[in-house]
Amino acid sequence: MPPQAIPAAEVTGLLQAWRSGDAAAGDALLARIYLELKQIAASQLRRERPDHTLQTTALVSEAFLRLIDQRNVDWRDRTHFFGLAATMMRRVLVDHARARLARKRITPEIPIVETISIGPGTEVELLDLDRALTALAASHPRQARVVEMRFFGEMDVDQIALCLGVSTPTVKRDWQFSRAWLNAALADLRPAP
Amino acid sequence: MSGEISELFTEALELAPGERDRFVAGIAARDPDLASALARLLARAEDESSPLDRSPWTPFVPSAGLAPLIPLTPLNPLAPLPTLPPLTASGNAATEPQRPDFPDRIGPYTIVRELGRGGMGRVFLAEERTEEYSRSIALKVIDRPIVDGDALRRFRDEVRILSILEHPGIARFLSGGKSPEGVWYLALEYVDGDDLLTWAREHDLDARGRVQLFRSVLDPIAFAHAKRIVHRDLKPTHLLIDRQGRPRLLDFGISKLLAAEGGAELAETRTEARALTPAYAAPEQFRGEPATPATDVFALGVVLYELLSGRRPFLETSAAARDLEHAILHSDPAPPSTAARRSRAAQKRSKPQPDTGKARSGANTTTARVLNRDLDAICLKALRKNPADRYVDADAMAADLDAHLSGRPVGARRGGWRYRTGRSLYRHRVATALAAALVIAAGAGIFGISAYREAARARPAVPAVPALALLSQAKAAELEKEFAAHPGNSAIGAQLVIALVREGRMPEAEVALGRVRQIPGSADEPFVDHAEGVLATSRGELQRALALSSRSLELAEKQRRGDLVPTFRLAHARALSDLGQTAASLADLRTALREANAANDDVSRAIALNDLAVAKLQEGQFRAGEWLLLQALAAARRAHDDVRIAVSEINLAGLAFERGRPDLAAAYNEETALTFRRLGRERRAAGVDLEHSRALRDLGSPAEADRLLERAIAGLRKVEDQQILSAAFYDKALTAIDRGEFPAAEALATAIGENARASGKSALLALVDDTHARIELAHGNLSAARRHFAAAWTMQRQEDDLNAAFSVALCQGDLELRAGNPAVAHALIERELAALPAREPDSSSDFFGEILLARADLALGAIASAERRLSARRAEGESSPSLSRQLAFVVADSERADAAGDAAARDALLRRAITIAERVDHSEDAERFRQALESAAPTPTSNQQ
Repeated sequence: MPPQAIPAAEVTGLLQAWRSGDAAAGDALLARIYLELKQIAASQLRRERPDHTLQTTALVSEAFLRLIDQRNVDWRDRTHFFGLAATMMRRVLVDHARARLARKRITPEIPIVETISIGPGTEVELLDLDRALTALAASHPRQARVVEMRFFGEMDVDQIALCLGVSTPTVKRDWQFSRAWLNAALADLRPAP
Repeated sequence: MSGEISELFTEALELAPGERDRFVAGIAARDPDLASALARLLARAEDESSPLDRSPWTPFVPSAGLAPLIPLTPLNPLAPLPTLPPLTASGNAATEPQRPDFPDRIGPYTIVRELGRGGMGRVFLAEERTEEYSRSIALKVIDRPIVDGDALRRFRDEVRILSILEHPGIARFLSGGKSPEGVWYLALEYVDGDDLLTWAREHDLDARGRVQLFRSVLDPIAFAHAKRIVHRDLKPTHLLIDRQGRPRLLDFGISKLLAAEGGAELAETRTEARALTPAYAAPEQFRGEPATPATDVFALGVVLYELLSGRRPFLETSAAARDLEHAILHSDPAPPSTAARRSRAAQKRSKPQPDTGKARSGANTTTARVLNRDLDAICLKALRKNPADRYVDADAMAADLDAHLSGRPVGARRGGWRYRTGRSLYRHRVATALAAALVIAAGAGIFGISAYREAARARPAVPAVPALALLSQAKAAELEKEFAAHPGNSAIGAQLVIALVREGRMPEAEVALGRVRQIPGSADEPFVDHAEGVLATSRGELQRALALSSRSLELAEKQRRGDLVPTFRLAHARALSDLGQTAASLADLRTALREANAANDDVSRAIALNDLAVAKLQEGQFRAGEWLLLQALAAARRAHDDVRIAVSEINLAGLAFERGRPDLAAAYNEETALTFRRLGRERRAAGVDLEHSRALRDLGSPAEADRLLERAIAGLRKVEDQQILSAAFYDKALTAIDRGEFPAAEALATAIGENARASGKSALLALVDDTHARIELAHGNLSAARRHFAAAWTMQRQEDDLNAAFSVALCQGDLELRAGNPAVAHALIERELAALPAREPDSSSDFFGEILLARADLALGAIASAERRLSARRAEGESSPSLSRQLAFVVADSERADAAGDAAARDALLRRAITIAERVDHSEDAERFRQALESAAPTPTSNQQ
């Protein structure tokens, strides 16, 4: 089923299914969120406001408001939605960085990234980080997920704890560990001058 | 290994650097690789910078020179957040003040002048200049530093929400953050305009103009409410009208932002809770309770009151804050029309009082004179102490004001009689369907009981258990004793688990199950799986329940315990049915019935027959279902199983009610309620009370019905059965609507919604929409009602509850009739009737569906068709024991008489309708019929012009 064929009413159900462990629902949801974000970003671009740029989490918030039947969700669903969106934002960002590196210029194809544009000169760093994070996930999946949510999803410690079902001290410890681990891995990739 | 290194890392980090080395060295002794990896990580833990410390995203607002607030807060959660010097009246410690009182610039903003001061800081008019443009902004400088992480988090959350609030009537929130000078600020769009009261006075608006002006500010507020954003500090100075006369609202959500900024420790104190404007604050704000859209409605009520009467509702005697708080919390304001008269009198005697100043002089004689009871009612409803009694949000308040402005009666006075006549008749079906679910659910507890008895009888290997007959209907307390006496008997333990579940003591059931699971050999005891399955069912873990029931069935078959097989097969059938696997479930039931017959097990026979009957009933096959139920009743009587007897009787009662025989239903219910009370089954007894109250209502005993409904609610509250409690709330809400008590109905709808969320039973949300739809309809908001009904219908269809969906469809058809779309109504009902399974002509769906089709025929001019339909139902309609059927028929018949030009017959039928409506306590309906009778076109002979 193409993702746009999923009616909005079902999105709430998908979210709740994903929450209770249905990975396929997460994938379907991801596709649906991506489309919605693209639409929001595109309309934001059309408005051409020089003074206002949508912030990542505002973008995700709006997608949440648009996609999810607000009567049927509670704050846990909201947090889980952000958790899922974090994965997607990572994907968006990495795709964009790749495209930018390949063409050495700004690509207008991904309006999400245009709208919340990343600063110049970070592509290599970002792609390295992405690779290192994938490696981390192989041995420490939860710790990698914490990074995804915190770094790409801009979620705070409490939200991450809720999403992963662990305590906030655990999230903080995971972050410390991941930060050290990634620093070490990145140092291997690009030895300090 | 992978887990180990992260744990060692955390452990090592907590050590002093010297100890760390020793720690690593200790590990090196047993695992050198692990130690070197750990050492490497520890070396990196202290890194000053990391790519992770910079957000991959651009700052929130890309204005040069501003530290973005959201993404760039330190990502290392252990790094301390910056503590900021407070901005004092003499300037900021981090800036070079050009003037003694305030800085020249804050970040990229040039300060023009001070606009005002509030509890949280100051507001400046500032300019933002770039090469491309320049614009004015309102800059709020926050007087307190954001120090703790929690406050910062809340602040950031709010900023996110506010940044998506875009509406032409709301001054935009532009950005928020910390300037390079260390000043925390919020930048907002600057609006040049006057507040609502000033504007009304300067434009010399009359009462109608004032209401229209007030109405215009509700749209942006309703917009925010729809996004779940509450203003929390609405007052005239936040309700601006710009130079073009457009409403422009200030500071949406800002008070929450500032409260968040205040910090957790402050939020605990009384002063923090008072970060509000007392004259406009709702009672719940004084109590420090969370703000909802109804909180804004209260403030809007104060503003409207002030706008109309020139006085504030709670400022009669004293403006002292403490007295004011007391007044808001405890006193009821006079209606604004009364206040306006007093205000006018006061003006005659003297000049306006200094304490209310301009606002008071806003009232003039015209305003006071035309203030009518509608506006009084609207104001007072908005000002109710209990948030649940107010309009739920700005949209609901706007709807009533619109009704007033367009000359329609507002609130309870609203309603066309055709709609009213139909509406009240269709309500019992949704709840009935829910109650049917309750009856099927009876199985869970009962299976266990009967199975236990059978097991004990058939298995002398189980240590002798005294007083078996007593135990078969035992309470958990008794089984607890029994289990204590036979701690190695996992079958008794399992029985205890089931009894605990039945009594709603879930945590204890879990504990008991844990104990049973530890008994050696319990894995081979099919009862234990069975009990766990019952527990899983009650928690809604349906797949697990199915797996467990399969396992217990297999075990019983393998162990050749033929006596137990029917019991476990019934549980299996039940699990299949819960998962919607109807065909498989029915096959199981039939097998179980055969097995029960072979084993001469009357209890299992009764269960199988009952559940087969319910399946038939759900297919609309009433006669087959009734026959099976009577057989089940006979089997239960043979087994002297009171619970089974009562369950069959409940179902017979439900069936009787469904077939238009509330008298029979009441007789069955009376019996079963007594049985359940005697057995101490509070939940079941309450469920029966609920059914009984419905039957009594339909028989014309509303007072007795109310008493039983209240008793049901009390009982259900006690056992905390949220689902059936919601069904009871639904009944009560619809009764409230019948009597024109809309706030009560709204509060009940809210309670149902909360139950739905708490219990995860989304089917209950259909009831919320259903109730809202009826309230909207009663207020004449057809499009809102249509929306809610559509949502309710969709949910019922998703739940696969065709009968409940049909009952909603009847309301939809009625709505369309009322909206003047009889063709739509006709098509809708025909479609829905076709979607229902085959049914008997005496079913409610068929009866009410046909009556509605007849009414649609009449409206379409198809008189002959309508007459055919009505004459087929005449005998039933004129003499049914069900007053709701009589009422529906009589009303349709009066419409037929009207269409046929027989005014005398029409009026006689209307009078009869009034009598019936009064018997069932539908005061609103009776009133509608009376109005219809008075306003009905006179007979052609008596009034020819």
